[in-house]
Amino acid sequence: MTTLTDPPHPKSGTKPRAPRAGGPAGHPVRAEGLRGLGPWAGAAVLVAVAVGMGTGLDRWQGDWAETGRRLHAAACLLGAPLAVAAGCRQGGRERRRGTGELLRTAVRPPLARFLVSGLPVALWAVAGYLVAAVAALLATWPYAQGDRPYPASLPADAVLIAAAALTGQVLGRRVAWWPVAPLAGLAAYAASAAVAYQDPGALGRLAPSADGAYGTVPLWWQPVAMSVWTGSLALTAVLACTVRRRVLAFAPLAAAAVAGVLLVQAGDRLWHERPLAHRQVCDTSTTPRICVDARYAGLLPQVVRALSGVTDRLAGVRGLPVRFEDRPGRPRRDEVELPMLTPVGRTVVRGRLTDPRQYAFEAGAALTGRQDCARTDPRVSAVDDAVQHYLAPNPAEASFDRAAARGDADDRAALASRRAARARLAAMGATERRQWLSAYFATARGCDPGEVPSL
Amino acid sequence: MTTIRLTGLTVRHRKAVALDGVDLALGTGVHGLLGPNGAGKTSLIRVLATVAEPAAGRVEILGEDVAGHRGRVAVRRRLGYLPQEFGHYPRFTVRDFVAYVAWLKELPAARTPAAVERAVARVGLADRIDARIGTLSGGMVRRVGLAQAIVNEPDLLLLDEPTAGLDPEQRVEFRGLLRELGAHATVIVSTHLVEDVAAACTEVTLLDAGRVAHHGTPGGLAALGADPDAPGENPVERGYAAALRAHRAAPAAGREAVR
Amino acid sequence: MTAVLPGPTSSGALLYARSRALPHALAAAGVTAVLAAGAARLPGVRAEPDRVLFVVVLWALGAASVIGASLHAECAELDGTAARRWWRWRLAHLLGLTGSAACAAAVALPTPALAVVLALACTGVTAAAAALLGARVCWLPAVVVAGVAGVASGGDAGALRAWPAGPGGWSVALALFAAGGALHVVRGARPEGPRGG
Repeated sequence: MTTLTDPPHPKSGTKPRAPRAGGPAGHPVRAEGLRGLGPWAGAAVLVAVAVGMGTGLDRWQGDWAETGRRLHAAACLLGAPLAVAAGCRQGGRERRRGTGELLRTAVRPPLARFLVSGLPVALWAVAGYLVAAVAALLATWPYAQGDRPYPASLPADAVLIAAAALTGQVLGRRVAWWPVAPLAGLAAYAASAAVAYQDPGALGRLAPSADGAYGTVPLWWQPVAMSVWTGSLALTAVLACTVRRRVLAFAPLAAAAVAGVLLVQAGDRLWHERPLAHRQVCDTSTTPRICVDARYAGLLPQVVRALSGVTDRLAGVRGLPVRFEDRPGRPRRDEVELPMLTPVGRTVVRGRLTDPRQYAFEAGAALTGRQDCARTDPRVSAVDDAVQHYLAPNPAEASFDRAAARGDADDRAALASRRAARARLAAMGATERRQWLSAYFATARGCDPGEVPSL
Repeated sequence: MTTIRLTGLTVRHRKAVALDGVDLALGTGVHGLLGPNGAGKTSLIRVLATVAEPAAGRVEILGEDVAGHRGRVAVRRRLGYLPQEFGHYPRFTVRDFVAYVAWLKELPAARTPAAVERAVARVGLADRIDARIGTLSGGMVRRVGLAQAIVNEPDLLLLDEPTAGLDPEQRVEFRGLLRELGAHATVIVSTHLVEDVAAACTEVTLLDAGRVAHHGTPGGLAALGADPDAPGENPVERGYAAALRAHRAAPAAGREAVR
Repeated sequence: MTAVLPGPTSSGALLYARSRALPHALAAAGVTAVLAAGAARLPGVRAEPDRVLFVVVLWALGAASVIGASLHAECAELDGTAARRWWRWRLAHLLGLTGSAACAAAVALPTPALAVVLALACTGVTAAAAALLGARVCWLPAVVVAGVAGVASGGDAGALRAWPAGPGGWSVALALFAAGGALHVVRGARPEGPRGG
């Protein structure tokens, strides 16, 4: 057998490397998957989603629904555009590398060749996303205070990313212009972002990045229909450019049409309130009782502890609201609203109340608030302030007082009357104060200054 | 045995006529394809590789008519092709790339690993089989191109400028490989280097302006250049120039039927 | 040898501009500005500051990508052997295109200060990427950073809108531009191609 020999290569100056343990030649998918663009695409999606999620950590960690919503947004805004760009670049590879001539003599049908070069990129991108998504779910788990994970949109997002990569590959094959990859990625990002974070409208519901209002989750079949819609469109593009009998492309197109019609017709019913949304869990040992949203039931002990100062001081007082409630919308007549626990990231971060003193102050202020009154009498304000100071003082009270002390004559007079009222309430005996507070809370919602007992 | 039969083959490239009614029959052996730039060598190879469509005429390869899809696929299974511009994936290893081409040729998966190793060994890259192609020198890349062309042990091997980038020592060895392959297969080598033809080919076809200017053996071509005063360094070069001159002087007789 | 027909020879500057496809880049930058200006004036966009902001960010990324792509040298190998001092040409090239884009933004976009600050920052990042990664992928870092920031903000654009007015807004943008530009002016775009990657 004649062989060509390999003369020593003086230019390179390096000894020929010992053959690496490459093993016998496997299926080309393996080579494409290991040495092609795929690992880079996967790493890019993983890093982009991880950084995107990681920068806003406070605002989703510990909240299953918000974690799911953010992951879905990351898939649409980062995963899919990157996958389109990577697919586009992979699709232009034969042109860049000049292998088109050789490939045209291949026996394998074009569809098989397309999938061998396209699927590894798509699967790597999906893997990158799923790794980031699982990491995000694991990051939420230890801090979750109730509710349950919403992983239903993960498969749909995976299908979306794979579909984006394959569609990008079709585009990259068809368009012989190198900027098409960045432009396609940018266009996908712009289109996704234009629909995300706002009411999508009827046709906008076809966009994978369309999302319901805060606190809602998609119906179980929304991700299924969305997967059929995106996957079938990508399949249509792939078949139209690789199969000799183009008619075959109509089959996925029909499936896409059915899914699209379903999505448009369902309208706002695609998203619903989470099952636990209107249920409350309550601690009945205190007066008023304390109830939090059942989705954050784990926060109840912390809330009770934070409000313990307020509820201890109210022991034995009559005329109080029955309970603190934590529902969206206005409280009922005999209820008072707890300070907002959600969206997470302000009052609650990683399953902990960020500032229990501030929380207690806001709860106390809600008990004494006269927000609905057109105007408040200065005397009544001083009384309200004294009650707030007694129940749970504003953490910023000292600085407000200092500012008032430096202010004009009116400010200083108001400060003096506030301080006097606080001192009088503090000086009362326990029984006297209970009786005075009972009289006060009987009028706490009223706007008539004459009814409020004086201090 | 005739493996290729071309009848009235006409190929257009954009608007220009690249091949003009070529009739040619080739059998087992090593065939050199000579001619000036733009003579139609690459067009002929691309038609034989089933990459370009002829504008007119009939192309029969290994007993199949390549006008139909079924015939083309059957031919492609038994075809090896090294294009003039050999594209490759720099991040693939030699083994990966040759295996990829074997897959494209629908070589049975069980036979592929051994076939890949054999092809790579034949072009002398056995010690670099797991090196990435991007790390290889130009001559080595050319040899990867040869390896992928012979991985399916083709019955028809088309090599467009295969010796470009090989050093003199490698060219000598390459000619030996050509002779070995030509014992069982039809090997068509397009080249500018007449000494390759003289040393390795059993037959030579000279193309000029899309027509066959001469068809015969290398010895016959050398005989045309017997006059030592004619331009050229050796008999084959002189024969090449003489055959071209004779062809251009008799344009009316250009459409000669060979054999 | 055949005789060469006498004909005009273009000036070096003009040939340099053509070698970098500067006419195309200017045209593309113009189209980007016109598209952005048109989009920002659409009734559905003009009324909502967030959407205007989105258009401005896309414009800045687009303009920076066009500028970055124009830094590509078709024959970097040959350029490297030239006697001419490249840094002046690169500097003029970068300043000229960035200046044109900034002027277009100042005239055509509803939030000129933000647009110019964003364009300077994006162009700086892009020029650095052209020097380190190559001109054809130089758009990637700026686009990825913007995309990631968009997702991280969860649709809240307040911080971005406050950038030009905020402490060090202009100086950060100018520093990014100066650093990225200097890197490109000194090193030139990273060679690309079959061997260069």
